[in-house]
Amino acid sequence: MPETTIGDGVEDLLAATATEVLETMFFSAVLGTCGPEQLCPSEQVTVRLDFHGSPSGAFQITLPRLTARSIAATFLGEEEDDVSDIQAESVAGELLNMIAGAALSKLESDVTFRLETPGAGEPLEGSASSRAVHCCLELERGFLDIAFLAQEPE
Amino acid sequence: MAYRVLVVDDSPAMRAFIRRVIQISGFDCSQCFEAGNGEEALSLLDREWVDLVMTDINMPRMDGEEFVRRLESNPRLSSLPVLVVSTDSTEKRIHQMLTLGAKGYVRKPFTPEALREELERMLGEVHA
Repeated sequence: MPETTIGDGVEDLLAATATEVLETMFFSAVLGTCGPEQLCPSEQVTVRLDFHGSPSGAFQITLPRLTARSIAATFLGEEEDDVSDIQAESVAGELLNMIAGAALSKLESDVTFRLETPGAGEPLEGSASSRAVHCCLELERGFLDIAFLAQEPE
Repeated sequence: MAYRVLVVDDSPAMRAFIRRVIQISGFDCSQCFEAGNGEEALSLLDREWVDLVMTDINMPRMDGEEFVRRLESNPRLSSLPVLVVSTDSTEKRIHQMLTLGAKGYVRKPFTPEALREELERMLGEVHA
């Protein structure tokens, strides 16, 4: 399926949207943007969300497990040590859901999209990952990588 | 006056967050019920009375659109104020949900203050 050019400035829009979501709903400060970070897969949480509309595509976030735990703790109002891996992944899914919904509303304000439930799914890998628009944010406790891939209707 | 609120969202994390935000905001809530989708919410509303419903749109089994339709078509529940809380902030979607019968719409992300203001506006209208 060919990718679509949804417009310029997507990277900036992803950064602005994610910053607003993190600061408003997760009480987490964003320090700035950063280069793509590399982590061992066992130390990171990756969540993907597919969306359908015109265009269709996918969002994906990747963050260190410790960052996911920290974000989940502030979101749920719990101590970090009390947050389970399942809760951390669930909250990462909520974070992605909000970023995706808000970004799509700004990118294509006249289109109604259907968003799948965020989940582990198949990560954007290889060529799909390299074709996706990436945006990496530096947080107080780690980083957050956001990937966005839009496709032309079949 | 303390209000009874029903939060409908398929994400337990989001339901927990909304409960917390309601507390933080200072909104006078005596009881906060939860449901994971429209079907569960309708079942709960058979047993419990609430003053206001907050619902997500994108949910499995029965989404927010169908849920609001069912509330509107039920004479016992049609006057219940519904606040939609969604990531979808397109004019088209907001118009659609308000036309279906929702009385308010808050887009995620939202601040505790924004949520409280909208809750109080809606309940103020109901009790005016």
